[in-house]
Amino acid sequence: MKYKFFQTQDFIKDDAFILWVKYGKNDAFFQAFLSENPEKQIFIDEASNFIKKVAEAEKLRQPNINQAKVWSLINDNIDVESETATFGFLRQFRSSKWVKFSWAAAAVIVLGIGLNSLLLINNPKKINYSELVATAEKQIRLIEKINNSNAPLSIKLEDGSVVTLSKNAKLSYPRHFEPNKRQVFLSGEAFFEINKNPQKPFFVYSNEVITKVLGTSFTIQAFEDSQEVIVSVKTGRVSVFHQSKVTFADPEEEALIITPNQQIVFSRKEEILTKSLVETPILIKDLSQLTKTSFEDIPVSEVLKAIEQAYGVHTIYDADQLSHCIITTTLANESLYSKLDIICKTIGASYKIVDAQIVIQSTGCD
Amino acid sequence: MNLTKEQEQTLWKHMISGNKKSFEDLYKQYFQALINYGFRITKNENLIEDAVQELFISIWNNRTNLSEVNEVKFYLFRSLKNRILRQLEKDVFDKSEDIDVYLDFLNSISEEQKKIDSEQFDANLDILQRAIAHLPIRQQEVINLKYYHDFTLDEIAKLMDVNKQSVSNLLFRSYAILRKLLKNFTILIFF
Repeated sequence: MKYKFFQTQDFIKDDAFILWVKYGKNDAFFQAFLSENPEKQIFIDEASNFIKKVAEAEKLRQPNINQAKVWSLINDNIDVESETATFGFLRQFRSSKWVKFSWAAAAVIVLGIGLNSLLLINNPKKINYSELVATAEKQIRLIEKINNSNAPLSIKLEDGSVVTLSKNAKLSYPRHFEPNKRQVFLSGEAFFEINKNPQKPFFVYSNEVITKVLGTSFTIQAFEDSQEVIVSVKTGRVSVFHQSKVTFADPEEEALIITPNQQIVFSRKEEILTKSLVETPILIKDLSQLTKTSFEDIPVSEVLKAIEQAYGVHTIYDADQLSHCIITTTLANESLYSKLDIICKTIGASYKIVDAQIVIQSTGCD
Repeated sequence: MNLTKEQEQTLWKHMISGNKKSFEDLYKQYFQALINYGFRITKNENLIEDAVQELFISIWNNRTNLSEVNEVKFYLFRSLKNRILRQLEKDVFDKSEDIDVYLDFLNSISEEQKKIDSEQFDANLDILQRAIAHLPIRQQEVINLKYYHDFTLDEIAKLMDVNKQSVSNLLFRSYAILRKLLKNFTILIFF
């Protein structure tokens, strides 16, 4: 019998033994084994104590997520009706476009082609603010604020979130949000500071781009005459997707997620979302929060690790090649790029930004 | 509290045939276990919440295409893990944090040891929790699946995409490290 040769480290890996310890399964068997092999008592005690304690500790290491809240979110999304609610007006918007267009096209359309397939072959057309607002207003009344002054204009929404409009920017929003979501519509540039409410995700519709957040701060630039829509994040996590393709499935599957110092640029012509770093990445942590800010004669990889922490970026390099590169430097309140310039100059390397990551190219140091 | 396999499968069958109550029961049965496990893959609670939410939405919305599964719990854990990993792949920043945790492990172990030495005796479960939090991420996953969620070694191997021997090795290593880390308290904790 295998248990005769078991020690603690063997018992802790044994499926049947663990079930006995936790639930008393096969109790007779293990009791009998113990009385025949009393010298195993010490290993069994040690192993069962370990198993029980770890199980207890693991039960306590639990994230704080509200079961009822998540259930209500699930519920909101599984009924056919409410499933279409969030993106419903987009579909409606599509159809109304189709109606306008259809009179001219009707003559040449062969009966029997479904509306959906027509929408798909229909050339993607730009969506603008006024169309978005007109469509949304069929469901809910909106208030519009326009910033005609040169100074930024801050607007406080029902939930306490604040939107700061740059010059000439327009924002439409309901006085009271719907029960399960917060939706606003933007033209131009604005900075958003959104109060956290996981039960009511916050959506910003700006041209073809939808930005979804639970609570965070970020900037959107969506000028009607511009070829691009740009979303950049200051704090938190934001997901961005575009709506020119009607996806009846979960549109977030197509979403890109960005974190501080990252931005998404949507090319309206090519309909592509691209992730990159913002023009001037800033420190996302206070210098005092960093474990180390001055470095003397240490491998450059250590400094790069600190930079990753400080700016929330990811660096990629060949660790072997950089292993002999030793530098002395300090981290101060400076832009990411000027810091990288200095480091790269010191070790004779260069860097480029690929897909929001910093790639260091080096031939190594002697 | 824990359902038998037969009860699980009955719930699952009823859920597939459109019984909303069974769907809710399944959710209630597994919510805590799923977020507990998700926490071993990422520390990002928003991400775990989104993944659990999307998992259940997708189960209900696609229920007519779902087959009967033998191991409901295994199926749910596997699907949740896939969802979280897919999201983490998109999110480079998040991934780098996980790597950091692993790299910091050796540095922090001695610091933690100092802290542990000065702790009061009555906090020993708390100490164990913190010690576990310092294990490499895959060891955390393996002890969570084995000692808390009661999966067999074979199931864990499938969940973690490794062979059974590796699961066994991971379990042994986490045991060895925890013992070492808590050696001053073995009297309290392990004997």
